[in-house]
Amino acid sequence: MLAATKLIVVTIICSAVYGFAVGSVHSNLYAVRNLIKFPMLIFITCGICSICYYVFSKFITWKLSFVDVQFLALKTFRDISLLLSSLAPACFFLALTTVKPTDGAHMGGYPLFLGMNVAFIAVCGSVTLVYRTLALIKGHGVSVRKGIAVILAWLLISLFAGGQCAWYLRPFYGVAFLKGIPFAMGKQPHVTGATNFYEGVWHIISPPGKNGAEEDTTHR
Amino acid sequence: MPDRENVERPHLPNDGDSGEPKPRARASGRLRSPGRRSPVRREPGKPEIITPFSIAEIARGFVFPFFAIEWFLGSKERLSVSVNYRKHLLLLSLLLLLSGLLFALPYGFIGPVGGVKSFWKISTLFTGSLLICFPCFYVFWTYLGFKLNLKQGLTMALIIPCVAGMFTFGFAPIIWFIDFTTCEKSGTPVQISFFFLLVSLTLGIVHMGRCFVWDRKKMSEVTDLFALLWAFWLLLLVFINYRMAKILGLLC
Repeated sequence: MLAATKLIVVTIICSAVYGFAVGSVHSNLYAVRNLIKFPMLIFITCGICSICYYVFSKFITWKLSFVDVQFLALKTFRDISLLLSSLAPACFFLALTTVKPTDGAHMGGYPLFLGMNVAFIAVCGSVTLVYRTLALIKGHGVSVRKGIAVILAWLLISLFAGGQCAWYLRPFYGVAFLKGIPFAMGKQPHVTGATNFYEGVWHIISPPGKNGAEEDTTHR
Repeated sequence: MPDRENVERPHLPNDGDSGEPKPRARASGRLRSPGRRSPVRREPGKPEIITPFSIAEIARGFVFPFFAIEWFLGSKERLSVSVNYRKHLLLLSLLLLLSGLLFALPYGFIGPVGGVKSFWKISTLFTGSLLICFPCFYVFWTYLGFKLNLKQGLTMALIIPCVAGMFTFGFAPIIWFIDFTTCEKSGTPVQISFFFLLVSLTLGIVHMGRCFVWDRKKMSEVTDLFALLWAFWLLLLVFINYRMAKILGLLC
């Protein structure tokens, strides 16, 4: 119980710290909001996926109990939060020194900031996955093949559910000239007309046509 | 790993899981839940023994359905051995049936199609479709010379809706969240729901296949014709599921 509490507290603090650093690229308001939104993102994702993690892990190997699975999932989120929080000072520094965009045509240093954060998350996520897979193999006697399968299954489930959660809670950061954005955009459609994460991804793969864009604008 | 030919049946093939259970759990002497028990019983100097499910375990499954996930998903070897040795098959098939119906209920209850009133639809989808296809399954197997009685066949077949139901149980909170956080006009939750149901059914079929493949003696009876008919039956099952989903309004 104490271990679980410690895990949760560390995850909340670390994710909040990173969220604050990221949000400060827009404004202090965003930074403060992210203190709540980042831990929310992690725990909502973890909560709604918990049963699914367990069912998939049972399908792959019998060696993990329900409690083991929840601990491992929490530890994975804790690790990624911890690694990201270690990058928070650098991220905060970048956020403060980035040339602020003035309008849609002059984005300043924002794309670089965005790209660097994507890289930060990718690096931390990859390191966590490798480390957690090794821990699963050594600590629970799961074979390499099955250990990788379990972690990959969890990753896919988390991306699937976490993506929508992030979509609902958006924006976490953004260009500074946008004002009056609510705490969470929720079900409001995106500029492309996408109303959820999956449509958003689809619109990146296959951008909506001129007619579609017009319809979306009318709809908004 | 002992040689398969020299091991007294039932025995465990190499399932790829090497290594001992967690030393921490052993050292602490903590009482393990039935689900955490290894399906492999190791005795020094003796081959690995797999035991069929006991009547007490099955009875516990009726009282605490959550154990069914541990047993049916986590112990495919024991499930396979229980079927081979015809141990408590009636009770086992009843537990599989009830688990399949029960675990699919939450998805139907909170899923994006039909609302609360449609709570029974997912259970009906998987179990109903399987029961429609079961006569074909059983007749084909018997016709092709597989030594499988009705109870064994039913138990094997019921693995599909049971496991599919368990996966929908895992997907239920996710689909609820997606439905809750998506604009009412969007058709995405229904599409994702269809995807989840397809994944659940596929994994149910895969799991049944794993239970079947586990027994090499049975596998040695598999001929090309059987494999072909098996593929046909699976196609039929998928199609019946699709048609049933349409009738139940799960695709609209």
